[in-house]
Amino acid sequence: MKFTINRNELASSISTVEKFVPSKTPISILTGIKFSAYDDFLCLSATNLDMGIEYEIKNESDKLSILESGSIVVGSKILSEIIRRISENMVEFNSSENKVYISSGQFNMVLPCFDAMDFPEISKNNSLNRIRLKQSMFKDMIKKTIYARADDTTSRPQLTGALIDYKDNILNMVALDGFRIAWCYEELSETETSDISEFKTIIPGDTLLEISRIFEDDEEAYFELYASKNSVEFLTEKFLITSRVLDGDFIDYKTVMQIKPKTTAIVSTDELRLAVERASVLAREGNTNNLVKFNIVENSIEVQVETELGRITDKVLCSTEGEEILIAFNAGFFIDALKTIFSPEIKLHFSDETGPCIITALETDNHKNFILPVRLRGDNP
Amino acid sequence: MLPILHVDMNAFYASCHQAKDPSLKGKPVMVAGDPKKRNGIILTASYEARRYGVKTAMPKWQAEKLCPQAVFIKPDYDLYLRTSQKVMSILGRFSPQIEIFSIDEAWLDVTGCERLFGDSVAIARKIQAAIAKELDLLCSIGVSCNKLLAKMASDMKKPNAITVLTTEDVPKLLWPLPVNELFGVGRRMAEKLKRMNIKTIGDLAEAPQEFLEKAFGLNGSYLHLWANGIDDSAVNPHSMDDAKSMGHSITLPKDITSFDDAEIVLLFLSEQVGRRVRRENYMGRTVTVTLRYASFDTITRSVTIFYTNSTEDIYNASRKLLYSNWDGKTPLRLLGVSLSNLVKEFDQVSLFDNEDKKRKLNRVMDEIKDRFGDDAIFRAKLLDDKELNERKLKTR
Repeated sequence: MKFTINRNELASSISTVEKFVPSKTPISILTGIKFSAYDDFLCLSATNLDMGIEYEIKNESDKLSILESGSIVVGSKILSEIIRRISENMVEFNSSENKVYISSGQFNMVLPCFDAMDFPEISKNNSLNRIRLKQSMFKDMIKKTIYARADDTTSRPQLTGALIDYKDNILNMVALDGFRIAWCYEELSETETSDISEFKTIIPGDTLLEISRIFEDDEEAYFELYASKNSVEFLTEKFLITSRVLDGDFIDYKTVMQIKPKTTAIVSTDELRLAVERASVLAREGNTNNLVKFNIVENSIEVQVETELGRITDKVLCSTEGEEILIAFNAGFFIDALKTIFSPEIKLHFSDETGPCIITALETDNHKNFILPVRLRGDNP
Repeated sequence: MLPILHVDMNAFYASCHQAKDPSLKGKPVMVAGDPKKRNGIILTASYEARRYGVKTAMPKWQAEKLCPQAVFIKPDYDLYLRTSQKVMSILGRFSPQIEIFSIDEAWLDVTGCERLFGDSVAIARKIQAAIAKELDLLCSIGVSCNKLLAKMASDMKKPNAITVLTTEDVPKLLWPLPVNELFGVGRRMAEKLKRMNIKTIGDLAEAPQEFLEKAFGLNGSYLHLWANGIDDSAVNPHSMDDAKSMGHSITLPKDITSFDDAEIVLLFLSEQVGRRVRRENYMGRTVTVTLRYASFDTITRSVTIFYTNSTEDIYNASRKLLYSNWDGKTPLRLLGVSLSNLVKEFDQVSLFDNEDKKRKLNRVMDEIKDRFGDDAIFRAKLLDDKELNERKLKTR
């Protein structure tokens, strides 16, 4: 295998691909990136067996020229650190036997490599169930929901991912950990299409997080999502990401999130967030679990904290409707949710002291945050 | 004025048994892990046993050799805890300013109590008398101007003694002592100090503060102050209110070499930890597992979960830690489980109603155990096959 490649092209492809290299693995070959040179393109791949990527670079005069096809696997860590520090324009790779010679200007390096035959296939599901979507839209949905997923100590592993639920031209994304739910949905635009009428799948949170980092903000960048029973694929012009999916049931989020509000408040997102953040400074230092109380009275939300370290009372003016309510929450849950809302004003719906608070942007309701409270007891007024 | 008292119960565990069962009085009594099983260590030896050279933390077989006629008793932590509470409530009669340091030690600040009970030494005598009369237990009391010196003083004469230590006594009484006897100096630190040619508390007092700070960080500057008998920390009645962690560990009667056996021990420990945390109305979010191999190499591994005090959650987290940090073969001699990052118990509403059920189940099991004893109800996993079969036979 022999090729020369533009330094920037190489650096940016490695930085994308290396996100899929596991940081800890008992299988040493997985610490590497596979380089496969074909006649007209070069493919970089990496996998941690849960998710993998194939990144393609086309043979173009000033970007890449392939002199000899073949494939090798090179440890990613040293390679990536070196390429970042190369100042010349072009880098040459030349492999023979189990070594790769990398040179650029006066720089020369020899690294051992693994046999590419031993590298696992980035498995493809060959599904024809395709949806074409905007990268920016999908990325945005991930950012709005992923915070609410469960961590990996949950007894329900499916909750470490997010549910993708597509039906009737509407794409829903939902994450929940049992105490809160984040749900958003988008209607497909004219340039977005689907070959299937409906499908549901649970994608691991780690996959989605990587995707939200790699996908572009460009409104014109699209990708295709292929779903099958055991895996999903995300195909863009440059790369293909595959991921396993999670088995298990997801709670019927639409029903759970339908409540009859007893109390409603409309409030400035920033003012409420800042008040809760201030309260949380004291609440999380104290011996309570970041517990913050909301006393919602006519046209204001009083935010209260009381711990052994001190007391805070704060007031956010707002417009309210319905009954007064005193309710307590984990402040962290509230802050997480409020940070995902970019609308200047929000609506809060409360059913009762032990029921959820549902937070939505004032103008749209396609992003809902659902947070369950902490029961207040007699000894903790 | 020497307003600080440090009360240290003498041979506490062994004395609790002697007080409870007068037939043990005057006999060498040793509290050790299950007396029927091997490789226990001596938790406490009564003063009668200490005369034969038995020391705390000595292996049981060695103690047996030194004092073959000794009575070995299995630890009864409930008894110690109840007795400890009685001791602390006696102390509470003399001053409201009590800082409980451990199950058998506490500091009192008796400032302002002289009018009622006399000077510090008179108060110490009254405390000793009350504890002896009501609980049939002995204690040593150190009297000084600060917590450090009071603690050092209570250690100087045992049992049943009152020792007064003033700042003026520090050069004469404290400085000749080996450095490891200073409060806050552990075995490792003592070794490190020894290598710096600091062997006595006096050597430490003379060592420049900057030098100690460089070697031990913040602790170094404390060492310097303490070696000079200086300590301005207040007796804090609330120091125990916010426990940082609660844990249990067990030295296994036989080294464990399978996941099945280890899981049973983890569940047993998780139950103990959970019960204690629930009793104190706390919840914690960090589960730590301690593994000590037969080689005595010890590792601890932690994981953070959502706040809990349920046995199941503690067990599940500790089991995960076990599986990711142990090969299931290397012999284990000790297992420990602890829960830290504790906060006051709270009742987070959950989407899944089994969270609520789990909580209620734990509470009910605790109540049954409190009323009818620890064996009245337990998880079936804790029955090893032999016991399970015995129980089956009984019920038939």
